[in-house]
Amino acid sequence: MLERIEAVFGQPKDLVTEVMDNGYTSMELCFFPSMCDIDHLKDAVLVPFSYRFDPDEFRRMLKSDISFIRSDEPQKWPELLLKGCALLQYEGVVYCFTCVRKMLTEPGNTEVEASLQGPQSSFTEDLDMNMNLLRLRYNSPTMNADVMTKGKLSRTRIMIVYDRVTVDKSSLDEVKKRLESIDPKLIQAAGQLAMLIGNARFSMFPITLQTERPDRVAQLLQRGKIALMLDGSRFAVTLPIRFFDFMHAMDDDYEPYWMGRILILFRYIGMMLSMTLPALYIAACSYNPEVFRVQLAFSIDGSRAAVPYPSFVEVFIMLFMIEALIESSIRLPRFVGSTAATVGGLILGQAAQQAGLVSSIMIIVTSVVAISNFLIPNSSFSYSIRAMKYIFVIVATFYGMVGIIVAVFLIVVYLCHLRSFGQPYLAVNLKRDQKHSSQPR
Amino acid sequence: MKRIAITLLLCLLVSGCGMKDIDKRFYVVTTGVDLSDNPAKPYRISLRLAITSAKAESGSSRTEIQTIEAASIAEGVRHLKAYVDKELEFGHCRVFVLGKSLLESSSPDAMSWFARRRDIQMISYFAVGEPDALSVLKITPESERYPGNALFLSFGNEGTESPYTVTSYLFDNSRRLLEKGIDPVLPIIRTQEKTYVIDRVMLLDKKKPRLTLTPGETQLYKMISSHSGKSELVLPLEDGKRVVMTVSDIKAKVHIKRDSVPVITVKIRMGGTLEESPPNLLEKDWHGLERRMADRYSEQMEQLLIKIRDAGVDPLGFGLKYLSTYFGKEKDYKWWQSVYPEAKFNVVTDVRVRGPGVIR
Repeated sequence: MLERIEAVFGQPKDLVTEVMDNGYTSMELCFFPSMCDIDHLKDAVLVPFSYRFDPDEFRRMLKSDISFIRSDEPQKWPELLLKGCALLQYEGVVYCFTCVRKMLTEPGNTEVEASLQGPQSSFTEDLDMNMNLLRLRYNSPTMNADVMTKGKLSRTRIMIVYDRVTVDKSSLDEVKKRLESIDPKLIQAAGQLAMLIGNARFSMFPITLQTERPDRVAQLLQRGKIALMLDGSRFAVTLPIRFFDFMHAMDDDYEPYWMGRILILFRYIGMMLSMTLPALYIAACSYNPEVFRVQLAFSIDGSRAAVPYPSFVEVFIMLFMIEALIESSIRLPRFVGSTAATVGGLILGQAAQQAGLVSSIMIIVTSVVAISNFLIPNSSFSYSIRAMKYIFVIVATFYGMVGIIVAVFLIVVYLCHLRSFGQPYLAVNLKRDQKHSSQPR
Repeated sequence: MKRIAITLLLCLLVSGCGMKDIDKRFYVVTTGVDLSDNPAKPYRISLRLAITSAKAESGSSRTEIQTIEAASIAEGVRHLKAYVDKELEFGHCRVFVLGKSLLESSSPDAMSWFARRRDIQMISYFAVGEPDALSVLKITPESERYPGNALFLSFGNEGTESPYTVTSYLFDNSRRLLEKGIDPVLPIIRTQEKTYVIDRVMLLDKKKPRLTLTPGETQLYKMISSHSGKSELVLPLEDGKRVVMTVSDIKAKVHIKRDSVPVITVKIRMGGTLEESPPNLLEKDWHGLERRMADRYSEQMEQLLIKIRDAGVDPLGFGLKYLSTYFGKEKDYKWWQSVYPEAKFNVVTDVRVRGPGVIR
């Protein structure tokens, strides 16, 4: 066995290949110490083989213990080794002993989708742990999981999880078909997988929802959605998804009903503001100043007096600054993060206006845009909205208020046209719609 | 994909030329039109232009007045553009003041410019300037925070809600100029040192001003025409004291009876609290007081209606009401015009005093 393995791997220094002899008999053992749980291996294999060796018992153990799997196909050995198994050849038979080293032993804390009073645990980067979390929340025999391995080099395990009873069959077929058709080299994150299976190149809005919350996945499974989970990512990809799901935070279900509704309403207002406010500023400043009431028009006029260039340049300057600030505060290490905020806040808040670069109203517009963008509970959707903002700004630069209205209309049309794995993206009430329409989508 | 990109690029070429930044526009806040002495150029157009600043404090409003004489309003405004450094913008010109002499001598058709320009809002206010429009424009009240704001707030219900200030909108005025059986009404802005006094109203027929109401009559007119609360009802008592009721709600209904002479019945219901009265008046005779107030009010109103009728104008739209209730055609309207000068008025008022305004 060892010769075969050495032929495949060469002789990497982190691979242990030993022939062990306890005086009675010998055993060939090979494994990656970095990927295996050494204590476990010692307790389960090395101790019975050396100090307490009893040939009968040892043979019985290899045959009956479920962590020893007989593997007779030499071409599978490298794969097993790479997954963190130890291979041992005893009396001419090769056994695979699963002793994968688990880094994580407890669920993570929610970081991206924090919740005030909801569950605080989130998925981890370990798939088995995630399945555990999900099974705990969705404790039903109807939950089904299919496994798949994707990625030529990464060989990432992907779990397709769904509720057998409620799942939308056509979506499931579509997902499986798309998963089979993709052939990437590396899959490292859930977002990457989501991009690969949804043709993201032409889509302005995400058609899959990534979440780190087991409770959200459980809720979506119950509504007949499919979740894809993969090793090494703390996010699950759920699909098919609707526009309205992105604006839903789990807290809405845990707080009093009307408070939740009001918060959702605020979120929609925030989304609209974040998307259109800079464009509205341009349109109202440069094309249709009569839209404001006169008092506001005069104060904008007065505050813009020092600004030497047209309103759209001003908007681009401020939007670039705020985007740079947001981006840098995500990427910067924690220790210097506060520096960026302070410097950015000072520049954006005061100095830019005093220097006559931008008007004071524009600073308010910028901060409203930035803050209301954070109202959107899902980060990939909020990226979309952030990008949409620029489309509106360009349209407003050329066509003013009429352009914005037409652009809003076109976006609604686009959203109506969009499908997420066969299901309409902008369906308000999917169940009712499906009941009414007999034709298959 | 390439085709879509090219289409989008082409779209950029068709953008309009309406792009003009807000600070490159000169806001006209009040427009005044007077009659000039020059018969070749009869219109004297004055524009009050806003000089804006970022700070808004009381008295910080600064304006600039540009005046020009021209053969027509459109020509004058076009010519005035050569006098200023920024594009004239009428989008926020909410007040148009017409000189008194102009109204008397020229036909209202010349005024259609206001209604036809796209950037003048149809909700802008129209008024008559006394003695002329320019002197109204020249006033800058001390309390004004934004240029022209004092006049914007005077009309409508945005700022003061005076029972004496009648608001007349552009859309309403153009309608009244064209519609049968209803005539235009314009408030009169008088100047008094550094403020405006707007407590009179001018009634016009389709061509010329016919009647100017006194402040008292203006209040009565406004009560019945726009059902405005916050007015007052006064009853002088025999001993020289006065009972003043503030009217918080008022409703007026007009009924026209078709007869050889039309009888116009106006039913008015109003309610309010007493603001000023001698002590213990209500306890003595609550309903009697209400009746006395109602009778006096009916009498005043009837006199006002007769006065308006005798001037030959119909600002309350009795003619329109008649035509609408009796499916009037051209002949009917002619008949109405012939009998309106003899129409009889019957005002029935129902006053409800809610209380003395104090809690004992």
